[in-house]
Amino acid sequence: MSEYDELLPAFIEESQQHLQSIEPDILALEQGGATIDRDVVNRIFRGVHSIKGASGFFGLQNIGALSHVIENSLSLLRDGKITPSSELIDALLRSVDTLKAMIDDVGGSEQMDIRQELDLLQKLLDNTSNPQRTVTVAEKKTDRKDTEISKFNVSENDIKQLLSKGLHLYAVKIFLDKDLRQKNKSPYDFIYNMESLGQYVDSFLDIQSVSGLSDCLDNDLAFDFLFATKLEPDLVPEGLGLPDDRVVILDLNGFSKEKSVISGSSSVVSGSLSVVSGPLSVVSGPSSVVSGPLSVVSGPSSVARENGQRTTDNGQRTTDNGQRTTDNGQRTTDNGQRTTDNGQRTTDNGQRTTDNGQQITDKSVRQVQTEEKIRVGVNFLNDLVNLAGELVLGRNQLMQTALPLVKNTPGLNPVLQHISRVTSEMQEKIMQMRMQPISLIFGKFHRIVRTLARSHDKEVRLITYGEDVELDKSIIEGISDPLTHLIRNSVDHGIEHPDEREKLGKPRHGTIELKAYHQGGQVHLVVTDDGKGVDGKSVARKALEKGVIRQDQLNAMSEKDRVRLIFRPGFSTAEQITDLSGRGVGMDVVITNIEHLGGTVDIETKINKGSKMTLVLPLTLAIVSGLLIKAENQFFILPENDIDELVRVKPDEIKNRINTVQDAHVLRLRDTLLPLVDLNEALGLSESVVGGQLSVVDGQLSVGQLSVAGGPLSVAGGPLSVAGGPLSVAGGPLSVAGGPLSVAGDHGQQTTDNGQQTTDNGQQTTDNGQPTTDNGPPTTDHRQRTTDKPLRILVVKHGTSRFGLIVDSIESTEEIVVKPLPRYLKKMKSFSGVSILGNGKVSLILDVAGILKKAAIRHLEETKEEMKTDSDEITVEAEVQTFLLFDNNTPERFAVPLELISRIERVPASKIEYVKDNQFLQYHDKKLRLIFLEDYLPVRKPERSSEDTVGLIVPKQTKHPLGIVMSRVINTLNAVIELDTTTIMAPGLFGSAVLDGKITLLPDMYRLFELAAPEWYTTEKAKKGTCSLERCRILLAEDTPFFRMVERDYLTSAGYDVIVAEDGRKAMRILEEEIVDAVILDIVMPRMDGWETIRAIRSDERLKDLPVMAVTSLGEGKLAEEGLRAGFTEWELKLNKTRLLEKLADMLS
Amino acid sequence: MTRQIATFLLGSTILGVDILLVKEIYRYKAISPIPDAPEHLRGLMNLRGRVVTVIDLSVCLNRPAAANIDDCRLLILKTQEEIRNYINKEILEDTSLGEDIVGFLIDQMDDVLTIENEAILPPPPNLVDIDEALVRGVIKQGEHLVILLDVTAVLGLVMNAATEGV
Repeated sequence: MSEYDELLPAFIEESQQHLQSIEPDILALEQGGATIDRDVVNRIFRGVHSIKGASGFFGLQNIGALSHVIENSLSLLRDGKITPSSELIDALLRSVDTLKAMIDDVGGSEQMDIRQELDLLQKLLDNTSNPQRTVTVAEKKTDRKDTEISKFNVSENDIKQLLSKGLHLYAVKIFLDKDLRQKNKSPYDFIYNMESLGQYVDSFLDIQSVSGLSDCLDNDLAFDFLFATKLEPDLVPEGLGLPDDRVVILDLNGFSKEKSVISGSSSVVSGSLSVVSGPLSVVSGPSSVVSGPLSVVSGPSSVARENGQRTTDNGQRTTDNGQRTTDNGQRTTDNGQRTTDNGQRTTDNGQRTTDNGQQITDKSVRQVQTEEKIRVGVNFLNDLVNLAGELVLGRNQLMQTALPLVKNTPGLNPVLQHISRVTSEMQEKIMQMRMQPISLIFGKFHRIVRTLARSHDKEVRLITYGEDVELDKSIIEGISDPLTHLIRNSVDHGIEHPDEREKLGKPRHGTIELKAYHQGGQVHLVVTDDGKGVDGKSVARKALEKGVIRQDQLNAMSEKDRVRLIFRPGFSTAEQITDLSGRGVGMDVVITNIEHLGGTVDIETKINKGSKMTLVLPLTLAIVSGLLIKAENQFFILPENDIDELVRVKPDEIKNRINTVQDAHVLRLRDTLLPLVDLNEALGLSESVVGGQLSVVDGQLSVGQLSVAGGPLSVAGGPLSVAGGPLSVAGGPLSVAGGPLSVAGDHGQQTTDNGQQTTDNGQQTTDNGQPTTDNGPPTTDHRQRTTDKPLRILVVKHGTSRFGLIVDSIESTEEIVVKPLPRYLKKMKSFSGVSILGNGKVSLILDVAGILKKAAIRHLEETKEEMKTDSDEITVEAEVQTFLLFDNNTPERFAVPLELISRIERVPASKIEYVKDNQFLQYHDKKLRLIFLEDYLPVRKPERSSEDTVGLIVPKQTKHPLGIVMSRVINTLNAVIELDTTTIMAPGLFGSAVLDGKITLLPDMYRLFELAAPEWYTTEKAKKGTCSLERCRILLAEDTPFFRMVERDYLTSAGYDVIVAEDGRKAMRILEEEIVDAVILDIVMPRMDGWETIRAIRSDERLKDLPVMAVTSLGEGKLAEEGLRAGFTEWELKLNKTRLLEKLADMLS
Repeated sequence: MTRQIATFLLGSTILGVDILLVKEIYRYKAISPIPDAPEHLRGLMNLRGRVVTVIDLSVCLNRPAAANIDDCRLLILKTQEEIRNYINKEILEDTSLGEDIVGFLIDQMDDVLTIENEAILPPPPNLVDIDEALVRGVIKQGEHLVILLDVTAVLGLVMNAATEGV
């Protein structure tokens, strides 16, 4: 039957749409509890009703039967005869599911076993106090031969109701082919039409009449309706667009004793008659006219509202029309014409007036569905988006070209403005076409939560907010699964069992909130539950068991990091795998999916209070806001979502802020060290080697850049060009500098030039830069970067990590339309897409993850491993030390760790007293021995006169009072220093470092004292000797690299074997594996401080007698006593070599 | 079956592709180079709002990369969607163009030849520098030989090159 094939898809589609709205409504019913929202029931009723009606057309008896039972239960529900118990809701949901399944597979629907569903509902219905009696309405026999007696199943109750409303009951027969197909109507159109006139009660497919005449070719499927309306018999056929002989009025006298009602309300009847005649005239027009406007209606809610207002107008209008219709009998052409534009409206209103206000909501639901009927291929839409983009481009060019003409061409400007406005608006609208409300996916969660909660015997309520938030279609599709997973997780693992909740003083039912809102151009989706929260410890334990992380990694983790472990692949906290949440998909899939969409996932949780998952998503994938950046004269786009902040490093700050850690460049940004990636290099735009990149790109040596290069180089950078420096100092590093230069192979010419340069000196660097640039590509921007222009760094985030991306320049912010990467570029991970810029050029969109990966391969290769495992160590090393910067009235600068200094004094030089070769100062009743740096260190001798005042640095705790003479304190400085122990070295010096942009010497005060007053230290030396007979192993735990290095030197120079640890935790690990003779502990350390460590040591049976010395910059006195009580064997101040060694020897003996 | 072959010059070589595959000939316009891409990929170009991947055909055929790029023409190919009908109707052999628009960098357009299918001969064994896999056949035109490119193979080559490039 071919008419079947044509109509069936329409039936399926419409039924599916009905079902889609039915399910949430059923759930809403349950939530409403005893107070039944009649609107909702009616809405469901109507949906099911329509399905039932249309299923009759196709002889789909199973679908018909099931929808019939559902309908019955709904009508009871509506009348308050039954309450929406959870059994009923269950049964309804189940039936709707089955209905859905049958409609999805219409062909197999007749074979489906629906007895269970039927029984279930029927049983519930039978239990009600008002059992339904099904009566058979017999058609009144007429004299027409072609009308056979048909039978309908209608409950007595229904008929009574109909009668009480004063409706007539008609039997209507239609033929599928003749009445529908040939008129281009779908069964639904017909039913809608019928519903607009009255109420359709039952339907019946007259199969007998078909089979009886099966040999007849022009035979048509006949279909019988039972139809109730207020319309008088003579108007019905016209209203339905059927010949008169198809409509038969039924005699209801046999059922009703309340006939009088009809006449009683006759005025109402006539009132509605005139209104109803409006739609009559519309419907009677060619049916395509009706369906046309139907599908174009947009904005469901607004239309519904407008309609409400329009009702009165239309009442008016339809009365007119009605008049005309009755006059003419047949429709006049101009009437048809007129109704074309308001056909939809009048049809609606007609119906609404007959059935009253309730249907407004119902109507709007139907219009939503009508709207969804507009299906535009995504490709088509994308083409439209492209063209709109192109139009905008054209507009821009037009504006530019026409602008000079505006003055002399009257009228041009308004036209241009108009075009410009319309273009922008059109583009905006087209973009909006891709937007869809998030309610599309929110809707299904009610069901999921309900099902899941019931199967776990939990009580869970889901509350959703912000359903109307709109997101790009592709994002909507992409978040459905992750969001489902999160919600399942909340029910499954988050919400406790009711009893458990009661014990905790929480309400028995858990609440899950699903919230969507806009913030900062992004959409936030928040899933909150008031369940038990995520326990970082148990997560950590599981992660360990599953081998997701190692113990040492775990130790370094904060509570928040531990919770985030649930996002790691291979992790699932589910104690038992349940059928709903433990499907082998972990939270890692959630995070991957969301990140894939350019979003992020964050979790906040509190044990026994609940968890909060926040997904932050871009509004659309198609348009992103991005920074247009330049690298090597090429434009690239970096999506703004990836960018945390922009950092500009001034040329004179470069040295201070950019360091080298394990051959990788890092930017010091507030308290963190940020790995740096040079975009040019990562993209392969400029060939270079590690360190060489920044300094040598165009054959220029410059101060700033050099400091960025490798470790020793950075120190060398200073003297080379700033100070000119002592030749001996420059010599060493210069040869080092030659390395990267010559490696930069492509710049052969430049290499020689640079060689030249380097053998000359820093002064010439800038001069020479000029000619050498000519060899390279004439890129002005580049020169800007390498010389005096600040470095521009974009701090970008990738997942939880961040890094700095060095770019040549930042041009502007652009709103760009993202296009997919052509397949030929798919393997190039540095890019995520392409876009056409406002100037018409194609630009590549950078992919942060890809760039990071590539940069790692290119130049962090060797450090990659360590960067990963010791990433925490890098931040530890970033531990900032405070230095006192001072000078000695000479160009040299000095620094000592502030924590070693007890006092700084200013005294007149005249007060210095001389005893033989030594100088003293009377100071607090003591004779303070003075030490002049120039006497012991390879530094210049300052000129001093006795009129000067001099500065005195008095170190903490020395055996004999000593002070270092200096000229003035320059500053105190927080810095991470790179101690260089090779370039400038002398007894009494720790070494040198670049501090505040200048070479700074770090005097070893205690060593200086040793040099200055050897007589005071001889005894200690002897003592040290006794210990070195047996090689003792010392474990040194110290977090500051500077102290670690210095103290280790002290110890090794005294003949000890030294094992170092960066903090207490590492020290403890070493103690577990190694045997040592003594431990030296710093007190202030990250992760596990000295106090904690000593407690751990003393509580270990094996270690409780181990000598442990605290070496700290914290004062003595009370603290030291406390230390000794805590279990330290000795308490000593930092960097006092002699005392350290002395006490160590004491401890060991 | 008669078919039309668009021929063009690359150096002194005459190459050809079925005209049904050609979307248009375009004057070379400024393109955006792709960093770190294999030589085959010269860059990306905006063709009325659509992104064209510009392929250096010379590189594909084992020759030095196109030098005077500003004098070049672009032979812009259709997308798979645009040729699907031809393939379905069997007036075009199965060809895989993909959904992205591609432009071949060529020196100059030449004639359009109308030939019978039979006129396409198997490629001679020694085609000098061109990989045989990229050649569908040859057409004799007087004393000249037109090399009919296997566009699917050329595009495949570019895709593989891109893989190696990273």
